[in-house]
This record gives sequence, C-alpha cells and structure tokens, in this order.
Amino acid sequence: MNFNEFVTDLDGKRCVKCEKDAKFTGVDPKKAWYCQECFIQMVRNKFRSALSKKKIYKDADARETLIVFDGTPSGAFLLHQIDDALKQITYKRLMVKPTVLVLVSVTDPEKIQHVMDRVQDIKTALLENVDWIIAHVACCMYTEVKDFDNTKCNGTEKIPEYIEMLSACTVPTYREELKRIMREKCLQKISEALHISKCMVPDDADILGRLAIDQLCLGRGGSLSPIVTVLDKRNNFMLIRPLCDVSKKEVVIYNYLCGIDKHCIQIAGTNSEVKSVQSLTDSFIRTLEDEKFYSTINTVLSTASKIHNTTSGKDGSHCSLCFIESADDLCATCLAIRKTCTGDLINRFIQ
Amino acid sequence: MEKRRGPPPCQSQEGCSNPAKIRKAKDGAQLCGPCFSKNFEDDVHETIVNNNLFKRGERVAIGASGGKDSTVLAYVMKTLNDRHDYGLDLQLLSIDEGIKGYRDDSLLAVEKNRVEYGLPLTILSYRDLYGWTMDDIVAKIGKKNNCTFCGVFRRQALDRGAFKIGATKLVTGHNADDMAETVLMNVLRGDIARLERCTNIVTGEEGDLPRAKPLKYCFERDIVMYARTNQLEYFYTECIYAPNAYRGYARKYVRDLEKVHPRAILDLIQSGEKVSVKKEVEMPTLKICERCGYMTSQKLCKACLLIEGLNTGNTDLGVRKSKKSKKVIVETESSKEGEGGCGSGGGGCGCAGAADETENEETRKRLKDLQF
Amino acid sequence: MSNTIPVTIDFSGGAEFLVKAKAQKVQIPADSTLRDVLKFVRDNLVTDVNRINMLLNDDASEVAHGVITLINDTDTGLLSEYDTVIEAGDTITFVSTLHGG
Repeated sequence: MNFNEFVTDLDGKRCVKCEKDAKFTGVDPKKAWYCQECFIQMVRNKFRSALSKKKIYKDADARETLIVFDGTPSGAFLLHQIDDALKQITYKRLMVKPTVLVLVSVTDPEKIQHVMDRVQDIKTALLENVDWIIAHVACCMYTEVKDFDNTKCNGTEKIPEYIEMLSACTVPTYREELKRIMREKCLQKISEALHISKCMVPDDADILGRLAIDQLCLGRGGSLSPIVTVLDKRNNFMLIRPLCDVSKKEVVIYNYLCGIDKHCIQIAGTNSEVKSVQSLTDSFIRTLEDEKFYSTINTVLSTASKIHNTTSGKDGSHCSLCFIESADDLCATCLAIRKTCTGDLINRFIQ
Repeated sequence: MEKRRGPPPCQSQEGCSNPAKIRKAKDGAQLCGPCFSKNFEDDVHETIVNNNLFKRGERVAIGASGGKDSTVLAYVMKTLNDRHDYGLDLQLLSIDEGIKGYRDDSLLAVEKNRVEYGLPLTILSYRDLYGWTMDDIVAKIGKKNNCTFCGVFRRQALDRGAFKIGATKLVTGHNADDMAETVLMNVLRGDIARLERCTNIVTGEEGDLPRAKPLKYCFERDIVMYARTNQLEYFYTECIYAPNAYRGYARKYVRDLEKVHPRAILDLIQSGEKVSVKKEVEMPTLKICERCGYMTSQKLCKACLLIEGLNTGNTDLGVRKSKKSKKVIVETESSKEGEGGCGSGGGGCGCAGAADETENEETRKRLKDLQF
Repeated sequence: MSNTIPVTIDFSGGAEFLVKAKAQKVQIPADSTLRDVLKFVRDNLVTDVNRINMLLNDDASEVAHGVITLINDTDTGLLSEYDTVIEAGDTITFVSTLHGG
C-alpha cells in the first residue's frame, strides 16, 4: 500500500470537524472527510480511546509493557504513538514504561542482518532511551527463555527446529494458524522472562477483521472476542491490541503525513501460491471492499466484541495451545491441528 | 496407449467390492452408488435421532419447492420413516409466490414428488394469504427490495400452511452449505440475534410451529449426488427477479473454502453453535402482531407492515428506516427464526437466498441499522 | 491425421441452459484429457456466453465452483481429475449444484 493510492476526489468538501478544506477520508469515503490536522487527530484518538475504554493503564502499578515492532507500517505507527506519549507531545500522557521487542520472522541470515541494521537506524530516531530487544519468533521453541543479549537477534539457533515443526504440519491452513499461535507463545515466553505482564501488538483492523473470519471458519466462533478485540487477558500475561480500530489505510496516510514511513522495514513478500482459508479470506474481504462494502471489517469486529461462548464462565480451563476457553486440554481446532502434524515437536506445547 | 487408471474400490464398512463412483464431499470417503446412498441416509437418520427431531404420530409438513434440497428431503424422510418406523404422518407443503414461468415449473416438479412418493400435497399462494403475488409486488415496487418481501412472506406462508394442514412440525431442506453461509452472512451483517439462533437444528420451539432441518449436516454436493444416484428429478432455475450480489460473494467464498479446506463448512456451523450474545448487549423481545397474531418484536409483524405499505402506496414501510418517525422497524419473525435466507432450501427460490439484502448498498446499510 | 473418438457430453443441474442440448454425442481428438474437453465445451457447445462462468472458470482450465464432473458416472476426483484421459464411448457429465432448492 502506498500513499498515492488514497488520494480521493474531495473537491470542495469541507472537513467534518473544522470546516477547512478536506483532503483525506477514512475507510469509507462516503462517511467522513478531514483536513490534514483533523485526520491525524482522528487516528491518534482511535489509538488512545482503544486503550482508555478498557482502562488498561488505570492502575499505577504494572505499567511495564513490551511493545512489539515487526517492521510493518502498523508497527512503526505503534512505536511512534509510544514515543509520542513518552515525549508528552500531545495533551494527554499515556503512562507506559516500554521495552521494545523487535520480532523477527524472516529466516534467511542475510535478511535477519538487514533487519538488525535497520533497527540500529530506527533506534536513533525513536525511543532512544528505551531498552530494545531483538528476538526471533523461533524463541517459542525454548522451554525456558533465558537472558537476552542486546547486541544480537535472540533465538536464531532455534530456527531450524521451528521450521521443522511448521513443516511437519501438512495442511496449509493449519500451518498458518500454527504460526499465529507460536507468535503468541513466543511473546508470552519473552514477557515472562522479562517479568513484564503487558504486551502491545501492532495488529490493525484489517488484520483482525480477517482473523475473525478465519477463526470462524476454524470453528472458534464462540471465542472471537479475546482473539480480535483490544484486550486478551491470560494468566499473568495480557495481550493488548491498541490498533484494533485503525485500518491499514489510515495507518499509511498517517505515517506519510507524520514522516514515519521511513521507520518501516521492507520485507519481501511470501509465497502466495498456496491456497488456505487465510488466503481465501483475504481475497474475499478485498472483493467486498472493492465492491464498496466498506463497513465489512468494522461490522465483523463489532460483532466479535458482542459474542462469547455458550458455555462461558464454566470451568475456567483453557486450550494449552491457543488459550481459548476449552473444557479439554486442546480445543477441537487445535486437536485437529495436532492430528495433521507428523513428528513430535508440537507436543512440547501440550501439557 | 495404456489403459486409464480406474477408480479405487468402494470404502464402505460392509466390505463392498464395487468400484467407487462417488467421493463424499463431507469427508472424502470413496463409495459406490448404493453404499453412498445408504451412508447418506444413515447420516440423516443419525441427525434425526441424536437431536430428537420428531415424536411418534406427529404430522410433519415438508416444505417442498421442487428443488434439489426439498426433493431429496422428501425422499429421504419417506425412506427413513418407512425403514426405521418413525411413525410420522408426512405431507408436502408448497408455496406459490405467483412468479409466472418460474414457480409454475417448480410446482410441476412438486406435483411429481407427490405422485411418486405418495404424499399428500397442499399448495398455498401469496395471493390467497396476502392478496398480492410477487409479480404484482415487483410491478409496484420494482426489483430493488423484492427479496425482502418474498423472504418475509414465504416464511410466514410456510408456517400458516403447516398450521392449516394440522401439522405440528415443519421440515425444510437447509443443508450444511446453507448453514455455513448463513453464519457467515450474519457475522458480516452484524446480526447477532440471528447468529445466535441460526444454527439451531430446531427453531421456533417457543411458538406453535417448530422447524427442523434434518439435512443440516449434509453437504450440498452430496445432496446432488444422492438425487442423481436415486434418479430423483428436481427443478432448477434462478428466480427471474435478480439474485442478490452480496450473498453471491459469500456463497463463492464458502464454495472456495469447501474446495481448499472442506472441514471449514462444518467448522463454520460449529462456530455458530458455540455463539451466544454477551449479557450486556441489548436485544429486542418478542410479542404478538396486533393485526394477525404472528410473532413480532414490534406492534405489527413484518408481513403486515409490508402489506400495509403495498396497499397504501408507501412502499418504504418495513423496508427503510422512516425519516420522520422515530420508531425503528426491526426484522421480526426472521429474527425469531435466525435464518439469514428467504427460506431457500425449504421453499427455495434459487435467488441466492437474499432476505433483507438488496443490491442497493445504501438500503443494505440502513437495513443493518434497523437490526437493533 | 485427425484421430477422433466419439463421446457423449451431458449437462445437468442447471448447466444445460448454457449449452445447445442437454446431452450431445460429439467427436473429440483422441488422447484428449478432461482439461481438453473443457476447452472443447467452451469453444463448441456453450451458447450462453454471458453466463459461462457458471460452468467454467475464466480460462476454461477448471470447472466453476459448484460444478461436479463425472466420467461414466464416476467422480473425476477418483480418477486423475483434469489429467484423466478420455476414452472412446465415455460419457462426460457436468452437474451444476448452484441452484436453490
């Protein structure tokens, strides 16, 4: 996505907030249009209200938060919001004690080095006085995460094992889902090792909307709420998604206007030949949006926030892989995933 | 030229030695014709028994449109009723919407069912029930919101018809693909009331006429192959009043899913079954229509509202949110039913099952607003 | 040398409205695969070009969604799918499942 795709014809229209000339629209070009300043404020407010609605930082304690950066525009946006908050540039101060976690998912050593180099650059511009840790998703394979070395990408020695485990899963849809689950396990392990209980991820509305439909197709319909809304509370660990109301389009425009796009890390596209539920969902949502059904993602996420499991509140037990509420050790979906995996590596995650 | 590789042997439990001819869509099982047929019937029997769908001696109305789902439904119900001695009194019920050229042919197909299966048939028309045929309605309001009218009218028509023939239960031919689509559509439209109920195998138990869906777990592809294997003739033409684009996209997506990851169909249904609405969320309560006594969450049920609109010339009534009045018009018995379609599957019109969906995006969004 | 074989191509479930006739005996090149037959159908049998997407995909390399293909009443998924070689006297059937019921 680049900025130039989003210049729409707003000739003569006035900003809905302040009556100046309108230049930008959000997801639905028929709903509202803004001047530059109001647009920036609108997006920033979405970020802020996602956090304040759930009163995540009301407590004076537990302000340490792991901020995940993955090189994407949304990742850069998140870093900038935190940087902004620390510098108290805008009127309200978000009291967060951040540690940046650069989460690497490429496996090629050259690409990993490229990420490391880029991080050095970015560090000089954003959050200079904050701890930065670079770790690979393969850290999920550690039974216990130990000390971090600030000078290198942690966990690279576990990459072969990680790849082996993923390859052992024969169904493309399940392999993708396993990657998602492993990412969360990785974040959880790292947070525990650092004794930090909160973790912010840069998942935006576009990602979460698609994820909601994916989960529906995987049979986890009752548990959509913790998976795609702003707060996912687990034992001693909290996943926060402050960009849940912000669309990729809004991120890209914002980044352009605020000069943040230079803080992204370009990663080559992955193989899109393989068909999976996830790839079909992506085309489906794209088609709907091309056909001008702009409120699709919004509605899906809103629906997800209003529903829960029919047997909610009982037991209190969770699936050992994906953590949704489940009376059994593994939810039906994770059971199916495990069945399609050859080899033993996945079993270390199951009690 | 070497001989082409033949099909694998039939995988049925009973050690059948025929070559397999059919690959069951639901689980990929490779079966010969007779074994596939028996397997399909056993699946439906299991669904009926596990969910206690019927009581002995009950009169059951089979919503029959002449299409593939209801034809197979009628045939299988009759077969199982005889084979397993359910003791049911089965009758065919068909609705004539009054669409020239379309419904005439399908009614012929239903008539054939009646003759072949030896089941009594009752036909009810929109004209008798509401004073309007679909042709009349489209002439009056054009092709924009006609699916809204048809969907609402059909749902009520089946209930009234069943009641008229003294049935205590109605069965429709909704299949797994329909259900998966409906779950998806309800999420996409934000209709959580329907989402909560749409996967129930029996709906409307609180009213006079519960509806059951014995083919709930049957894949559409298997239904077609079953009809073919048993040489059942059915009717198929698209409703001439244009199909809805939105549901068309959802349908394509579900079909693609079925190809790539067939389990997704059943998992979508599973998802729907696990869903319930959080306590904090407000939902409408059910009352009785002031005019006709049908279930509704407003003063007038949806059908009466729509007819009122037709008769007074205010054809937005019941379809669009009124700008002047503050009263919000909510989808009524459809909410009760939890079905996102216009009844296709049981009395399908083949128009890709649009209920309150229209091709007009504006209206669609307003209709979405109408839900709560 | 034009070596052709006789086959019957059969349409059902709604697909017959897109072609000249419900069942037709035709001559196709010997050694044709099912894939070749799809192209043959597109080029010679389809009359309603506007709705061809109900039967075939854009480049006629696969059938459209919801279309079942059978050779002598056997699901081609049990044979070699689109690589299945057609033999003389075969009946190839296309059944559409797209219509309501």
